[in-house]
Amino acid sequence: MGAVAIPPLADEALLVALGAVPGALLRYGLMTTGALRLPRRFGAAAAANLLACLLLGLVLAALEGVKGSGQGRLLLLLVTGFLGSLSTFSTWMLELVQTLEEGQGRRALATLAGPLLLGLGALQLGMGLSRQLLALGR
Amino acid sequence: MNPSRNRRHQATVTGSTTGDQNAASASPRARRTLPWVAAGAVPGALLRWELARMGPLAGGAYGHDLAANLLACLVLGLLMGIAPGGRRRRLLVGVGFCGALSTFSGWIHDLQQALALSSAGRALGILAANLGLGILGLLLGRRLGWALAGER
Repeated sequence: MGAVAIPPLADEALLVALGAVPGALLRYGLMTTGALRLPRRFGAAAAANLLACLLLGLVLAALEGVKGSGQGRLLLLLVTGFLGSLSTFSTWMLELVQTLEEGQGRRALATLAGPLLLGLGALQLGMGLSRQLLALGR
Repeated sequence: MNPSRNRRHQATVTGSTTGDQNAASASPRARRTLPWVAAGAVPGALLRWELARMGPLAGGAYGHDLAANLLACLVLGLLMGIAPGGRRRRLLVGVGFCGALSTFSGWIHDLQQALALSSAGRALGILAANLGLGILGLLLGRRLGWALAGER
């Protein structure tokens, strides 16, 4: 440890920022390259959003039993920073509004319901996988 | 569905044209776009964190993600109203800032928590508030943006 103490808040903000940059870049990459292909009617942000839900489940369940400040710092970096930035609500809403304004009611329903239900499923799947892996390790 | 129309729809949303399908692999293009996304993402994520640290908002812990999502939708709507074509601004503000400020995974987690407590009413409230205020925020922001752009 150096003589100059970093204020705890600046330290925590740095963790959030360090997670946010790769999260946003991965989201942009998934949206522009079309990697991790999902039905188009789910919207361009769906891949990033569902990946974020799956990883959130994995991380949260993995950290469930862990105590201490290390856990809080990991949550800031991975959950608040990386996963919060990887997933987006505003882009999804914009896609929904644009689809509705184009008069494509059925497509809008898919854009709304698809990511919503798959997101809940992905979160549960991530949590289940994480618990299974932890149980195997014991 | 008309495929060309769909492609145009995607392009409008992602702020990309069909020409930059290779944004990640074409490095000169990546160098022109990725710094803008990163520069917007940092303040967006920090603002979301700041909202989470503000303590209980309306609806308890669920209010944080709602506030972040509403704010992001307002700003994105404003951007669409003022400058729907500005490419850098869209990367910085739309993809970077609004994308990082708003959260889908946090909202899904809020919903899952409410469902786990078998609190269907709370889950419905979280669902309806985020969707309703999100869409309203976008439309209001865009209207405001149109008004501001028209005055210039």
